[in-house]
Amino acid sequence: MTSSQPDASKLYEAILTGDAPAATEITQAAIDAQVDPQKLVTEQMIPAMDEVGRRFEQGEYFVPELLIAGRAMKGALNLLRPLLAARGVEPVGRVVIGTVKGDMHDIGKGLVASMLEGAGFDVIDLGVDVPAEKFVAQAAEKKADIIALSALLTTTMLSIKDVIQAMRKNESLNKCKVIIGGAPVTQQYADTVGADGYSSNANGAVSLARQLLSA
Amino acid sequence: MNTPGTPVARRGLLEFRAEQHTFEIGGVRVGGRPGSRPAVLVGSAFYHGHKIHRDADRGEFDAEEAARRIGLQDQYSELTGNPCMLDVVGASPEAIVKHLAFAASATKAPLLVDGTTIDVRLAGLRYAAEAGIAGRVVYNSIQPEIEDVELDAIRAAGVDSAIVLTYYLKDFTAKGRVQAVHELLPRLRDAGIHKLMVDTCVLDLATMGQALSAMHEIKDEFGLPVGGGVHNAVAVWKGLKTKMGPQAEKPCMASALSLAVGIGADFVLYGPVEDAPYAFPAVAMVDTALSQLIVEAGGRLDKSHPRFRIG
Repeated sequence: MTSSQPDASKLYEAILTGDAPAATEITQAAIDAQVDPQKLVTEQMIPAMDEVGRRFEQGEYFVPELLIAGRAMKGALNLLRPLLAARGVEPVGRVVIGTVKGDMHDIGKGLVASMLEGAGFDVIDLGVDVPAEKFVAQAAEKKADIIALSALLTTTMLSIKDVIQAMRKNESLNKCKVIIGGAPVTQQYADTVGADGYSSNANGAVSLARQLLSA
Repeated sequence: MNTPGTPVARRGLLEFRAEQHTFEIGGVRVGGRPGSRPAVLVGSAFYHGHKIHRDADRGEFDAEEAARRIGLQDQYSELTGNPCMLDVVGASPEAIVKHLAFAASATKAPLLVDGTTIDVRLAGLRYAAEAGIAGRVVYNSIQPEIEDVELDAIRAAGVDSAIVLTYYLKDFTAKGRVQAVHELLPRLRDAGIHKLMVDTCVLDLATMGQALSAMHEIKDEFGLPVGGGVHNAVAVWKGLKTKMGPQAEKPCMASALSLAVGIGADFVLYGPVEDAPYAFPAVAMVDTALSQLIVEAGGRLDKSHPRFRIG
């Protein structure tokens, strides 16, 4: 690092502490100083979100820290995304996420989306009450690596199966994985409906997504 | 004393700038200056995993056991003087209708229509209108992103009471929760939903801190009744049972309720309705302590106040 270059490690701290204005400012300064954007992501931002996840697992961080760290990460990523795209840099993976049909619950899904984005995934959030056809169409169009499904009720949980069945019929999604979560969902249910993975929390969903893509 | 509409030059404990609104819902009054009127306790029934279910999706349940658990809340409400409401959850439109029909006869308490999907809540509203209990139900809940179609349905059902859940992802801070109320109030007034109970959104231990701060700010700025599901903080506390032991759960739940009421909450959701024996005494104790602020300021308390029942 030369004296004119910003200290990129401050970006790690800004994300870890959820300081969105600082994260944006440091990222912009790094861009202006022509710091490699990919290095910012892989050496500062993803490790910061990994640390956020670790602290959450350890009980040191709570939901507010997850949310503000995710927001800081998102602000920085918004600046870097065009530069990464221009260089042909691919995201860690592409995830289409949403709450299944009939279910309007947003909190858990929002957390998972935020954490995945923070971990370097390209996340397409379809929102709540999403029909199976929309999941499949969007996953196919965006060439998603993973479809992430959330359900909060035993009744709406049944829609998970509809999405998986519709997805399996689409040949272009042969390699696409499905991960599921939500209050009534269990590993046993994931096995029953043929999901590729289940997580009970947002941080676990990130580990699961990485694991599935590296398999 | 901070009487309604009177500006306060120098504020004391739990005195607020705004006039404190109280609403009467199904015979229960909620809101006002802390200590002057006891906090309303809200127990939940028929929620996901509640042991009274036989078939949660079809609304089939053990009626005898449901009546016993709901009765426990009524019993402790009578014992302490703290009013109660019943949060009636449904997993499907069919279920919410059956649950509401049962609850309406099992208790005289106001009923919260609670479902995480709009079709469940709207089915509950339709039932409330048909059964003539619209004045006794509270729509649970309205969130900042609510669409007009849902507001129209609430109005059409003749329901004018609602919980406003300040789940505001644009700014998930204490201030953001206040902002959510700012944004929602004009729409709710236009929709004829006047009796508002603001739930400041507790998701875990840390968000309880934000929620408590927001409760104070919202009472101070709007004078609306505030509260929330502080039991959520205890329910999702991963280390509670594993590190502290299972015996710690109920005291922590009671502490969370006491903390909320101690900073001015007008209502608290305490979780499973059968936890009434843990929840009511804790809240009645705090209400009694706070009542002395009213007495010292020259105010009078209704004889139904916990102060006159629990000693």
